[in-house]
Amino acid sequence: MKKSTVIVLLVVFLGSVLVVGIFGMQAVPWQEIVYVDKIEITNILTSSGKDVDIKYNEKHNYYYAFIYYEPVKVTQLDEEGNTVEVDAFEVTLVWDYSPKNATNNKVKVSIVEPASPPCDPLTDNAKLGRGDPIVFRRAGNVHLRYAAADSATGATLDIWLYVVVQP
Amino acid sequence: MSKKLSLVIALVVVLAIALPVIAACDTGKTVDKIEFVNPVRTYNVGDTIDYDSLQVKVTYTDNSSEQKTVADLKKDGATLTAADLSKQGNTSYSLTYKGKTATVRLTVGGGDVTTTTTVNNIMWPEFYANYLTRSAARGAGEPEDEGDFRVSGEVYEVGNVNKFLFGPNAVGFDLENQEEIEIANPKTTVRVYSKDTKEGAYTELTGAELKAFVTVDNNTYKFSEDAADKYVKLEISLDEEFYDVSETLTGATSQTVEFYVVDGGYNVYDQLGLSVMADLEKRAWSEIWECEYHDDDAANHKTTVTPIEDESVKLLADDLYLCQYVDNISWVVLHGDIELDPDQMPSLYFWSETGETSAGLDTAKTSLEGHSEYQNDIVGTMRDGNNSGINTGDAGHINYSRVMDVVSYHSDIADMDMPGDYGIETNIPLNMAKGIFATKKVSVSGNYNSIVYENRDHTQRSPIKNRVLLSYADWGSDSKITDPVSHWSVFQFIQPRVEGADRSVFTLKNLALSGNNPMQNDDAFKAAGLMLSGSYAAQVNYYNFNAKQFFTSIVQDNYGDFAFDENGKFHSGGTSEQAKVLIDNSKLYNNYSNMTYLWRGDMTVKNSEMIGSGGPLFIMCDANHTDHAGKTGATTPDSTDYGTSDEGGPQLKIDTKSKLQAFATGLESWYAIYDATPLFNTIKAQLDEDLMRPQLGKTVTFSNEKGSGYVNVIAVIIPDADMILKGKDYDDNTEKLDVRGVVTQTDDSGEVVNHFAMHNNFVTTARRFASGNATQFPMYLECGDANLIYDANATGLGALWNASTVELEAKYGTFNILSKQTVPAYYAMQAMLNSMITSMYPNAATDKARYQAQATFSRADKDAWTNETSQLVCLYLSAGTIEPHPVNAPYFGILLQIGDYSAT
Repeated sequence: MKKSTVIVLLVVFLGSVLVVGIFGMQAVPWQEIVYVDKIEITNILTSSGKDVDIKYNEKHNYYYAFIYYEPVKVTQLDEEGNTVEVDAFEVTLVWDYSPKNATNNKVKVSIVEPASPPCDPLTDNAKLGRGDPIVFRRAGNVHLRYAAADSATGATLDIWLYVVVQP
Repeated sequence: MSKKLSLVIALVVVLAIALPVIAACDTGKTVDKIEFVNPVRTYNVGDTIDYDSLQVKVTYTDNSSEQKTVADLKKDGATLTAADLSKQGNTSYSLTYKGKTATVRLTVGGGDVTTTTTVNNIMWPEFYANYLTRSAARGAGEPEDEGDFRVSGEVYEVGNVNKFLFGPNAVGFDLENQEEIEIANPKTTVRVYSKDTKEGAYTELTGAELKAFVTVDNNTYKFSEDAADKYVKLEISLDEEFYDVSETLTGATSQTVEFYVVDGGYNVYDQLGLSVMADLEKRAWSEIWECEYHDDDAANHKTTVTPIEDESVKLLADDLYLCQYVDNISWVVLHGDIELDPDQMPSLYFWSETGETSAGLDTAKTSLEGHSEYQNDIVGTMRDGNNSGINTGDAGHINYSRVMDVVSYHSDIADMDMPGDYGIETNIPLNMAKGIFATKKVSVSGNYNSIVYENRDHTQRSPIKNRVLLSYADWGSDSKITDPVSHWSVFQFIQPRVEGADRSVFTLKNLALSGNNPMQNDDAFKAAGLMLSGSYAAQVNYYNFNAKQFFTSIVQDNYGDFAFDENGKFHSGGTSEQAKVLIDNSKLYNNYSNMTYLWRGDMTVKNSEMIGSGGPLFIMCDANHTDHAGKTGATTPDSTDYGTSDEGGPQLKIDTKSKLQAFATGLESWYAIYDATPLFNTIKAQLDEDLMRPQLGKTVTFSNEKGSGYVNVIAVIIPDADMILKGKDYDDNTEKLDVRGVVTQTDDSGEVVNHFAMHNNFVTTARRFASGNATQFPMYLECGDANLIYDANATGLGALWNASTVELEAKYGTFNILSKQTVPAYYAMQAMLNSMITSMYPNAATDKARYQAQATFSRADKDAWTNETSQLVCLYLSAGTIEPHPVNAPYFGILLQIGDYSAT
């Protein structure tokens, strides 16, 4: 390569470094907002360890699952601080969202109905991938809704848990 | 065999073969339309339709017709799309044959009641479950997310014009197979309570009082006028004469729902029901409503629609044909989310290759020269375009006039210098923006439901069907794809400009919306998407709504000015007022262009959140009217009282509670499209780094978790964009243009904490002295009580500027003036103005603007810039130093967020 060519290349290279260094640093890449557009329940775990089959009611757009109520006795403090034994049956919903590059992947879970559910109030929003266990104190039905927090028209998922006494 | 006989035999053989073939061939007839013969329109869940046996009348272009079965037509290539009879509601089936389609809309009733099943679960209808979750208050300490409505707990509303369909769903359990057993249309009993006020006590209604209040027919409720404006409670229970109720439902066999009855409210369950509010587009929607349209009373500004017996659409909740509700309701009340389907909208809204909506298509395609991907896709997109030639039928221009409610009707307002047709009922020109649902009287109660028009299914007829490829640009120019401007909105609220018309006041509340036009930097999104709402009315209130991804959310157009008499009726000689918009406790996110566009008008924003737009949050456009120049009688800029008033210009009122953020880097959609990106670099590099930070200890550039270098452009106060450099007319340098506009910010107590006016003391004075001198348009920064002038003084202003400075200081105290002598910022500001203007208008010649710069600012000076309540700074600029028409260039304003700067 000719010496002059090398010099030209060097000047162009250094010049571009300078230009990018001065002006390029001013440029901040703009980032598109990606919304969560799907939430799905991938598994339901219970304290009894039994498999749970998740089904879909297409007509009313909700999932449902039958779970046999198999409580265990647990000790806890009552309101007066006394140790008591109560029934507890834990159900944990494992969920996932997409797309994975969602800008805000926060998902909230709430009890829709009934007004007096057979489980304890939900203590926290759904944790990524796996929520806190839902503790049932008796057999019964509960309607849960998972909703993406990034938009008022965002992805939702409704599921009915039918916790039933095994016949 | 003789030759002759052989010939005859051959001829017979040929004919025997050929004749049937000829008979079987296409006769060459062209199908003009197809229609089902006497279709049944009401079914129950679980019914079936023998489609093959349905009769279809086929009419040809030679006016002949014949009747065939669907089976026959399918053999000849017809395709059928079946209805969904598996669930209660509205559905349809359609047949397409030789390019023509016939559709039959059906209502599907609940079906038989199951009487012997054990009920194991009852549940709210989906729409009510939506309400319960979306209206619920957040827990203590729980932060508000973008998806939350700002106001929780608003009462559920129900209309009394048609039926409220509200029945629980019920299922039994098949435990062996672990499946639900559907109980269709469960039998229920109900107890009804009412009260007059929200705080009052309910009393149960029975007997005659109950009958006068509401008609109940197993899960459908028709409220009367007696129920209007009352609060109602329903206790709905399973009818235990019909069911065995599982023990697990003990205490939960009934559900209680409370709501408010909206007088004149029409209950909406789907898009078809929502269309009933489109009273200003009856002609377009008559196709969907399958009714007849009449404009024979156009002289009285009236259009009507009338039903066709047994053919017009009648929905499940309605006693009348759908078209009979148009013009006869005050509200639409939503019960359920709606995803808008362009295939269920009037064909008049979309370009086509044949028929009425092809007029101007060739011109439209020509305007898309060089963009073959859009030329190929334009058919099926929403129609917009240049207005010229609509009456002359000039094929050289795009003709979209027949979208709305007029074929041809001319206003007799002779002094309005506007060509073209006027809407019969609105009496405004048809070149104005359009709404999918345009109304003169109907408000929207959302009940926390959503309307989505995202069209994400790219397998639909056109992947960009709900977009506009060409926008209406100007009276004389062709539309350009490079400057996308949307003119279609989901809703349009219009005050008819007809003498004696009622003053129009609208409300849109408790509703979420999502459009198809988020912030982008992708050229493919240059086609304009939807706007949320066009406000052409005396007053539109937006309360507790949550919207994202629109080209612009709200356009407020003060076109024509409103004037009303003492009775509140429209009267052109009456008391004029600005169009008013109230955005109250609402949230707007992620828009392509801006959040609101004011074409003059009076907008108030209270406790709302607007975050993320590809352009300034608010564009306040003065609409280039020069009449204000003579408001005080003065007609020339040299007069002492010339242009002293912001009256009539856009007025924006915001509060300190509202979160207003359009943090941008300049690479976002709107800035990129309008070549304003270099402006950001100039503001950041020169205004901020060379002046604000070192001189004032303040900054207009911010950082967040995504990075640094963000500028929050809250508002711009401008004439039309291409008027920024010029006077009123493109080529006439004699007219003077002076932009009006005011932004006021108040705190919780209502006290004004910021007031930025285009006719503030300095700008008014400076313009008067500077007018006629191309080099003397100083830049002005205002922040609370602090002021900063960048004085353009070429080689010494002489007495003119010295006098003006003395006058200003005598009147208003000391102004900080940047002085030329020692500070490099002087050169930076010079370069800044030049680069700002030339980057926006690259073909304009730059003037040699020169500045004076002050050496240092005192600590007190710096502290004056921003305090707890004044986080806003307004930069007043003029391109007056730029040829070719500098003397007439107006000041325009840019409202930015300003904050403290720390070097560490």
